[in-house]
Amino acid sequence: MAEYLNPYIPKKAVIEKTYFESRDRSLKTFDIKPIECEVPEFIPGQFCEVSVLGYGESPFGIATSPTEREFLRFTVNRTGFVTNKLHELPDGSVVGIRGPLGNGYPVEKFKNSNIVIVGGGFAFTTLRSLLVFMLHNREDFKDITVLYGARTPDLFLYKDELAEWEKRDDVSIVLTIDRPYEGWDKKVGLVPPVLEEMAPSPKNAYAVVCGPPIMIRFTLPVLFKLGFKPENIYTSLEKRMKCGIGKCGRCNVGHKYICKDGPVFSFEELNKLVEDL
Amino acid sequence: MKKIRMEDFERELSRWGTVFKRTEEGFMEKDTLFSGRSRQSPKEFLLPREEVLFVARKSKDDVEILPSKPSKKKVVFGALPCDMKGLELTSKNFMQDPQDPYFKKRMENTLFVSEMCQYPSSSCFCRTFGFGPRAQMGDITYFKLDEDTVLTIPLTDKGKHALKWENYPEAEPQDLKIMENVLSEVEKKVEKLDLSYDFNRQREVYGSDVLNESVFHCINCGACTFVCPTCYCFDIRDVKRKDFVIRERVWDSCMYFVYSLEASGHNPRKERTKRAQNRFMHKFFYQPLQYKEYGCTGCGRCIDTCPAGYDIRQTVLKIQSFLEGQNG
Repeated sequence: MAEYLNPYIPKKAVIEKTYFESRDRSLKTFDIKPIECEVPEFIPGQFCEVSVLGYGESPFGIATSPTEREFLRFTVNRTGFVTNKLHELPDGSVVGIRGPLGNGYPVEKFKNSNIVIVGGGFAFTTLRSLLVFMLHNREDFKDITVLYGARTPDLFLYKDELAEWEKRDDVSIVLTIDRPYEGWDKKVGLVPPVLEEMAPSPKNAYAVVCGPPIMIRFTLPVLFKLGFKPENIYTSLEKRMKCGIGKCGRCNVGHKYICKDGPVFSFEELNKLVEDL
Repeated sequence: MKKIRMEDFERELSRWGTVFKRTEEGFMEKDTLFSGRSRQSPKEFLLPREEVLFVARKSKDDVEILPSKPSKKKVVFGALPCDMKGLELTSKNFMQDPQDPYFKKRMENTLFVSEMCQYPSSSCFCRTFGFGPRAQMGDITYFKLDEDTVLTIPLTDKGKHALKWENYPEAEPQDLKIMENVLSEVEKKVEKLDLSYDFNRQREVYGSDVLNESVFHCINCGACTFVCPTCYCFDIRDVKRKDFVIRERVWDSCMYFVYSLEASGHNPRKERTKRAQNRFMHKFFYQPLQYKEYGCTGCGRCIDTCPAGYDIRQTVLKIQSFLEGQNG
């Protein structure tokens, strides 16, 4: 059985570099490079299953853009069995990766449109991929607006890059935190009211919303109120996964599998499926 | 159809691979064939309870990944039409892109010899799903004329090559007449539900009071999922040894809390009835939407096995009349 035909067998990869995103050390970024092959081609929004042999594997969204092919970047919240072990691994450790998996954002469809990115917390990983991809192909897209909210200033991902992007005049970045914080001179407020205040136009626009379920629940009505249609609002879903290729059965929402048919869905698609998230 | 002595039939088939016969429990290396549906379907021949995906051997700074050994050649003997239909439906999941290499290899290494069914029971309702006791399925199918004789015919190239068919006489007209009479009688005893509802109405059904009440007495033991010929959910786990790690897949069940439990502690199906509802929805809404076929074969194993006396037929009929009522 040829290995490359077996979707269950991970490719060996080395953790080149790691760094903490937050002072509480809950969010750690891993730059991982396959050992025996090139970084695979992928689309923003796709994910990989990362294996820590002996502990299992977990799905993580790819945070690098397809235009950055030196390594694959994943930002991992320390929560469960695999992520705890992953956080403990020293640089240079060998892990396994399977992927890219899933559908990714419809970047072809996004071309020549205004894009509104609404992100919350550490769900910004694949949004970073999408944003870097669009900035790299800047002429393919019209206005790009980003609203990114976190509980505290410390919990934003990719702080250095956010600072760089804020300086650019071809992208509008709004950062907001939930409650006032010493030294924070930017927006304060939850994502939905800040979005309402920003009032991006729905004209020739797509919205991409990623974040905790509660944020999504309260952001959607704002988008609808602004005039965005369900077919023009996309999100990336998460559920417990195992195989990542639509076989093992567990990540279904209605008759769709998040790992294979998603993780990216429009709200038009989700409106046809049962509520099971 | 050829007329062959059971003894010769079995002997020839054993040259293809190890013969596993239908027993009361499941398909096993036994001498006698059980007159009835087995408790376990033959799904484990394609999806074993535990299967090694690969072994990773750790050395000083490296990891060597070794694929698992291919499966042995086996003959599944006496699978009933509902068993075969179950394998067919399960194959849709594993053989669609990306193909599951383990499942595919086991398909290649297994010869399916099916038996036309003469064992209807009160829990059988296979005719609901467009086939029945006389369905000819697998690589070879046979009708048991009496304890010592079968009428049989190959259905695939694999089946054609498994036996020296030319050495056996054709069945006589009176044999075929007996077969026809017996099968017609059996068919009469199998229930056929008349189902005609719109699968796209999943949102109206999942979480509804009518479905919730219908599955309410399910205790989530998972027994139905293990005996079901179309349930295929699996878990993947790592087994750690001193110098190596075995990654294997094992049967899992959507009836269990941990099945959909997320690392954050969130569980989309934390309620007992939600899990039972999901299983019903998968068979009667999601699989029809995915594959244009119900995900149930009407074998009745879940009905016979359930310690709480749950009957899936009642649920599907209730849902159908619920949806009809919503229309009017």
